[in-house]
Amino acid sequence: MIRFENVFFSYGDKWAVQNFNLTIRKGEFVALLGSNGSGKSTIARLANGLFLPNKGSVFVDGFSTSEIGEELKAKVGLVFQNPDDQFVGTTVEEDIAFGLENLAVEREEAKRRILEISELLDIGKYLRTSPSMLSGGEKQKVAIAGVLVMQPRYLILDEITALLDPVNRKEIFDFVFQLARRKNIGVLYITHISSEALNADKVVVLHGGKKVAEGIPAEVFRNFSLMESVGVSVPDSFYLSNELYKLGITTKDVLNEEDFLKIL
Amino acid sequence: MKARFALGQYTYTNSLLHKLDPRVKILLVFSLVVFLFFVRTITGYLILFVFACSLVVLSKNSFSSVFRSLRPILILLLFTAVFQIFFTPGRLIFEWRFIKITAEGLRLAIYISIRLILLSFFTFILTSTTSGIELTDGFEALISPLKIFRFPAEEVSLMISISLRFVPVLFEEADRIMKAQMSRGAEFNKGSLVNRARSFLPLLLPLLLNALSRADRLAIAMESRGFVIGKKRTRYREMKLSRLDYVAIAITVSVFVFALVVKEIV
Amino acid sequence: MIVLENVSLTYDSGTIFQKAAIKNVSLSIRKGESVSIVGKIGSGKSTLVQFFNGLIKPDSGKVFVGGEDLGSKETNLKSVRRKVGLVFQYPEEQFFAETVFDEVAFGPKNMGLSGKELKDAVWQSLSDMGFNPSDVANLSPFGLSGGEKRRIAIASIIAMNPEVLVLDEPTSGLDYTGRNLLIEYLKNENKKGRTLVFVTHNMDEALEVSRRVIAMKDGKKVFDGNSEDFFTSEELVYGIGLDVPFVVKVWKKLKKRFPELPFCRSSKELVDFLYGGPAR
Repeated sequence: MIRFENVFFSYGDKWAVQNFNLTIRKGEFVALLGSNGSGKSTIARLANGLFLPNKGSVFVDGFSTSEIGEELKAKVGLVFQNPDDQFVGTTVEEDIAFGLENLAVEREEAKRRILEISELLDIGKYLRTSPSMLSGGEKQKVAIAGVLVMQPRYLILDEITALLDPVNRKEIFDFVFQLARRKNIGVLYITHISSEALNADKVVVLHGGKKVAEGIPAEVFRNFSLMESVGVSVPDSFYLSNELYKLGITTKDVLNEEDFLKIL
Repeated sequence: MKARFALGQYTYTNSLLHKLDPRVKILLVFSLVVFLFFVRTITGYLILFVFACSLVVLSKNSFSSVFRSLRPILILLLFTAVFQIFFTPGRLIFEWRFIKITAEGLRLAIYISIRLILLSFFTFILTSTTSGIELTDGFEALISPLKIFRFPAEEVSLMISISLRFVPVLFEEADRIMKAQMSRGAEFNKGSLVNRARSFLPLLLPLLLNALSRADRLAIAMESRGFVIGKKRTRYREMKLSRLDYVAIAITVSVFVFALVVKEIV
Repeated sequence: MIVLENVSLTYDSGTIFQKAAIKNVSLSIRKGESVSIVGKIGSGKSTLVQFFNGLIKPDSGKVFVGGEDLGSKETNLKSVRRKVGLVFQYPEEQFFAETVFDEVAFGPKNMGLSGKELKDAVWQSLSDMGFNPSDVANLSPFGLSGGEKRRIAIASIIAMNPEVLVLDEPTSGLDYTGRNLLIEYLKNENKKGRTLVFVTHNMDEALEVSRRVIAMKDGKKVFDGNSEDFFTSEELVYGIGLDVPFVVKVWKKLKKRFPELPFCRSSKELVDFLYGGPAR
């Protein structure tokens, strides 16, 4: 479990995160929403020890992030928005290997893990290609592979679908969602695309570095005025299903797109 | 629109030479270049030339691409040759007014030209069969003994390979920024030299700033993937000497020796 | 205003990297329109708009702006770039000036404006994009928020007072608030008479902003017409590899029950009509 306990963080003299509390259990899918500048990315970097809190603590499986060393980076994998900012290798294979080199994993084992991961993500055919030649969706898969290969117990995904077109976005989201379920990996999924949060176990909303809402998606999104005031969009399907239910046009107040369309 | 940028014209043609260990290739080419200056007979050079040509064939490159690589040094070649022909003292074989050509001059000119050409041939063979990464690994391995003197060989090599990776990215970025500024009426090739220099600010400054913030983000990503300077790392890319390498060394050494000792036939 | 006739472009022709980017596209953009060019990443839409201001030249076919042939040597490309303002994706990455004023003034200055005229142009475009000019003019463009930077970058193009404003994925990277604000300002620009060309893969936005849609797939134009006709056709939208906006899916189902329901371009529009309309 990742546990944020009364965490405060500042950049210079401005508080970026204030009194933040959150738990992410193994196998739990937690969505983190908030407008730009709300502190989402800071939370991501606090979770894997890149940043250490000014006050309070972040615990990963019982140990404070200020105590554990580099093993933390293997336990808590962080994937960023722009894959181009993460690539180190000149081929996909080399790039994925980077994390394993850092963990001093022997070549035999490294090769095995890389093959396994590339099969899982269906990027085996790109192993010898330069990452810059791939499409946006494929690049992001490579970036994810580079982190998964380190066998993390938790994944922090910082707006990983923001730069993709809708089809690729769905593909990547579905992949990480199902993988996390299957391998019991705890996920902190940071996004500003609210519809992605509909399937989460828990939704947390940040504003000005403070948590302003937490709960199951239905609970959180129901509060339209709060969402509007903190600059978080309510997913279309939720909004419409809610309104149509109020108007008596539908008989159920549902959540996601497929269910709603079926009801109609 | 991508700028076609070929660093040393590395092309993956899967030849025998591509399979050689980069350390071996670098050392052999380096020694070849040095030994060039010890060969004193035309026959010797001929042998080396034949050797170079067979290497070109082995590397599955076309001779036209080799000659294209010679173009940059052509001027140097011409200049040096002319200099030697006309200005070397010795036994006169031709004189017309103030132009004097000596036998020594002619000989030296030919030798220097052949050496320069052979040098280009061997360098081309090296760069066309060895990728930027292999070259970096090779150099790193060869200079790693310097680690005794606290030279950060591993870090330098990582820096070089990352830089290599970003060269095409920077080119693309420069293209994008240039187009964006052109859309705002910027012109990059008009006006006086001073004006042209000034017009590069809207191109260079954003490029530099973007490169810096990109470097920052990359450092964070690397750290997130467990990278710590100074900590022990394994190396995924391997360089193993194979039988092919030993054969290559043997052949090259024999060619040297032969070229060195052969008596002048021509 | 902008006319393309049988325009084609191949990348790296003659080499093994040869790739057809644009295949025989013809279109015309009329004054005052709001057009969205939609397609997947790689469909050629971003390349296509670079023809509009002469940044790239087609291998075959002709491009006309305001009647002028961009391929002719007499055409002054600089004046074309004033008429057709092109805003690239992530335009704030082109910032280089010390103040917002200098940044926004760069374009009009290059076009020959100076003195009072220049100041007026900058002031006008800043207020068009929702700023109080005197508040921001002396600030550094680098210190602003993401959404503000985006609007400053767009202001720097509007300051040249182009007849046509072409924007490539203008909302990418913006959050919900930033996005909504920008869409509002862009709609205003169109209302004032500025022709708007929107390049996007975001179907919801294309639906909201434009009456006309040009759809691109693999470098070819596969649809050119009414946006309502496009978005309501599953075959067309899925055909170019994108998804039908959710609100349209809902609208289609509801239309069966409420035939008077007009075509809605956003969920708010739909709900507003239902409240005003047939609420049970």
